[in-house]
Amino acid sequence: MAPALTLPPPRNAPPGTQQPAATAGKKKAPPNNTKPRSKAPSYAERCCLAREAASKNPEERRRGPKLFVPRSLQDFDDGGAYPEIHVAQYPRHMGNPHLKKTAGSGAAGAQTTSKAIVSVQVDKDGEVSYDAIVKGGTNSDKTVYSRYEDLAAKEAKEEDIALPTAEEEEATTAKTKAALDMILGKHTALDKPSGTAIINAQTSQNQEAKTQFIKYTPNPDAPGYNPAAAQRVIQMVPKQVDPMMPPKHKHIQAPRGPAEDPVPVLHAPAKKLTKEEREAWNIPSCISNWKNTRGYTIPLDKRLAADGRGLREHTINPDFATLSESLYVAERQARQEVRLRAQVQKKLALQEKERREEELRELANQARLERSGVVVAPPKGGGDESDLDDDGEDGIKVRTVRDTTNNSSSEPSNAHKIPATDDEVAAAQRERLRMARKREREKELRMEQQKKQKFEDERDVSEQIALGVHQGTGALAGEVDARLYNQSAGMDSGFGREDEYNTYSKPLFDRTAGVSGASIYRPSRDEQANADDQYAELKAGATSKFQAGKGFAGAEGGMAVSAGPRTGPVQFEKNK
Amino acid sequence: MSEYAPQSSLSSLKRARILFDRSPADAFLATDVIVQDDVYLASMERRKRYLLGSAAGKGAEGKKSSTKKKSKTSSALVAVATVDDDDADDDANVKTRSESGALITYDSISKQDDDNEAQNENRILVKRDNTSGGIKVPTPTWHAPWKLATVLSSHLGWVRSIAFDPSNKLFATGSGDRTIKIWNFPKASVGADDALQLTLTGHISPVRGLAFSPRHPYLFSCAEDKQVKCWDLETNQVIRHYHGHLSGVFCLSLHPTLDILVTGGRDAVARVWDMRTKHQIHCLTGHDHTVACLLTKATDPQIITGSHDCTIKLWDLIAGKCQTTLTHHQKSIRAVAAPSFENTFASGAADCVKQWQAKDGKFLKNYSRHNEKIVDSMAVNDDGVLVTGGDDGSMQFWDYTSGYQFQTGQSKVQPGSLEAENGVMAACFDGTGTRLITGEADKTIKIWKEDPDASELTHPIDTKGWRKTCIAQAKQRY
Repeated sequence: MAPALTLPPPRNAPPGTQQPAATAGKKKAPPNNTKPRSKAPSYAERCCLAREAASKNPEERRRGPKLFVPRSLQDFDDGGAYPEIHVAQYPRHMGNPHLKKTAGSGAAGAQTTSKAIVSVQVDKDGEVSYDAIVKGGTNSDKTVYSRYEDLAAKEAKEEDIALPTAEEEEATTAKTKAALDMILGKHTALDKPSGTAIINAQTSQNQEAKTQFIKYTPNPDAPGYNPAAAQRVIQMVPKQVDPMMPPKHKHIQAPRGPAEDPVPVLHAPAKKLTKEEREAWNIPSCISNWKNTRGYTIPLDKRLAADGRGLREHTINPDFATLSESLYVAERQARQEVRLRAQVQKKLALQEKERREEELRELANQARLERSGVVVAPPKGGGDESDLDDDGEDGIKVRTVRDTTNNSSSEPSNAHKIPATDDEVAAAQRERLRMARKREREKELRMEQQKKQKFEDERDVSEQIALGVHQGTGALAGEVDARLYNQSAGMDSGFGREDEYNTYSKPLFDRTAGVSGASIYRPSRDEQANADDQYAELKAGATSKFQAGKGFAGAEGGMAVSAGPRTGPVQFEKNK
Repeated sequence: MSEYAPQSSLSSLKRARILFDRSPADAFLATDVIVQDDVYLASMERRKRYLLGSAAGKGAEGKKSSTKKKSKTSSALVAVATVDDDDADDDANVKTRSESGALITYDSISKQDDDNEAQNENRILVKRDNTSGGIKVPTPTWHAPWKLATVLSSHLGWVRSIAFDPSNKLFATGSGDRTIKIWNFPKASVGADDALQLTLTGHISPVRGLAFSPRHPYLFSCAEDKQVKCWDLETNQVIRHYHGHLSGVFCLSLHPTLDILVTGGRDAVARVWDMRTKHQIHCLTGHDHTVACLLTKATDPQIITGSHDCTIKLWDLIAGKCQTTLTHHQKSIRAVAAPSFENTFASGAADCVKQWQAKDGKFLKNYSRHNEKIVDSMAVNDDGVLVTGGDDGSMQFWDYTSGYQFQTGQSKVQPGSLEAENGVMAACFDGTGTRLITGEADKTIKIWKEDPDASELTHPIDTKGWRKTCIAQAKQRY
């Protein structure tokens, strides 16, 4: 064992010869104890080893040389894992779980320590000071408050909050002044240019200094050579620069320097805002109704919010309400008044009516009394008939008349037949006349109506249709020929034979119902009416072939003028 | 800042007040309360050392320190301390009554450069519970409430910046109407018609920052048009441009001891300019968002920036590098302010107002009950009154050292303005700290002053509420 540990292994030892010796002592060699190998076995070597091992039985294999298992950094030879070796491999010790156990002690532990890990520090009481992490880095020269005590209120010590003494102030001032003067010195040095800056500056002195005179001999062969001026002098002057020209450079914000290490946040997270608070602080996005240079599509609600229309408070003049209220009141009052007036009028009318009835009743009463023979005073009001009846004469006559009528009450018609007085005769006359006139009027009316009816009945069909008297059977527009329905066998089936006259599925007029055939098949009144005209026309040799009411030759009635109006279509007979 | 006003006459007046006011409190303090134990003696020793040091410092630098802190205040403190004693029993939350019953002195930040006996009286007494690990309830200093005195309306846009002349006779306001107006302060504070002295035009966007140089007759202005201008107030002309910002410039500050100008803007950087040569000395990059506010100090860190990326950065001016990043805020920081009496600063964001140790940026305290208003402006005066002005016109007044909010209110818009135009965009105390000037979104400049009729009796400190707030804060888990 001793030489194996002390001496380095032979450089080109055949694989497997040294391995058992090195690993004999420990069953599982920790990675840091595996012998440093200058070079990992090549692929061929490993294959050879593996083939040998495969040929052996398990017992021999256990005793025989170990297979190559990459453990240390050298085994990986600065490369990745070996895919053909089926063991867990940790190139560069990445994620090596075995390494943790030995992290503190061995060389492998040292390999993994990085700068990110801060060594544990303890304070004077032996407590771990966890704030070491925030006090390092850029915060190392700063005061960092990280402890709980820094959060709590405390009494300041007198000497800590004492005003600085004059000496302190002076010392600080002097120190600061010196430091700042140094910085300022650099600045002012830049302000006071020297060397090339002075030479290049646009001063009048420099202008003069920089003005050059160059003697120049033109080329005699060049075009435009003037032999009179064999020598020329050129004055070179620096270009003038406008001293008032604005500077060409522009101030821009310098990029931020490297971020400083953060300091612990010593305040509680801010109170979470409630929805109302959030809404109260919501500021609508800045949207103009006039400009939208980038042409964004702006939602309508945002536009309206930007308008500030929602912010405006609408106030309606209270007079509107007053006006409508008073209108309503006035209307109701007017209606009430109208109703009241109507009621009053109705009542008055009722009273009037009652009064009339009363009068009538009185009259009737009086008449009854008169008739029964009781003499009464004539009614004070005096109706029309009474006016008509008594012509300013006495009531005795009346009474006598009544008497007579009363006497012959058993046969009332007798009273007419035997007119007693002139008045009665005149009255009967008038009555007769009236009746006659009435009859006359009634007759006239009847005739008028008849005439009218006749005229209507005899109107031409086309006129009647034009006037909308007839609706026809297939009245409704857009109605379809019924034969078009139920067409399973095509056009041939429903329409019958070709020569059959069945263009219409229904007749235009339903002859059985309302419209009389008579009105259709009767010659119109006009043609028949004026016989003289007809006659004149005939005499003049009128060519009108068809005449109303004239029969057709070969038809049922023959040429003879058919008796009475036709009631149906002309029917022809087949020639035999 | 050195030639602020008649300091000698003021100090003599103050001396007289001290002599007359102190006596009753004296008796109470010296005999009854103070138990001279080791803790007390140690604290006294520390105070002496501190005071000696600070007095020397002040004498040398000739800066206006809080010498104006009135003696009235100290007696007020004592009174408050006794009130504390009384209602300590009914407060169940704290065990204020300690086993030992010992009272120890809690040193306030008093900068009395008077003699030793004056020192003795100027202390705040706080009971401390030794056993419960000490929830300290600092005793707030009483401040008179502030009320509106004058409204100046001349600007045609939001008033976004205010600066005071070192002589305290003038102040300048910059506005959204692109103008800078210079006002006569005494006349303006009484609302005189001829208060407006000058209107400077030249910017082409809202003016966001203004600063008077204490050593030169210069006014510096920055605006959203990327320009930083230097105006010569003798000729009222622009004599320098500081060219380099890539976007709007939002804040501007002059270095107290060096001829240096620092500007910050929407390009997320703060730039350090040499006043004379107009050269950019440093470009302080590191913020991720707009730099909204700036502070410059004579000692390191000489530049403090607050940004919309919710961080505050403390910068090393010499190296031009960030020294510390403070990430405690949740919301963007729009205002920072530093008092003249101690080396701290306060920053205001929409989540809360925080106080920091200026030396190294150590977090000191939260100002509670801020109600999540967006803080647009902050200012501290020498009496320790911190005012924060909100985006919605709300104003809060705090006791700077203890963090007690003694007044809160809403700025009133001028008639004819919209309700939305209620916002305090800039705030600034005058040189004496007795007047507060605010620039508002309703285009007005408002001048506030302390209510002269108010006293501790009419406006008492809400001790119970304050104690509860303190305890709630101490028990807050992060």
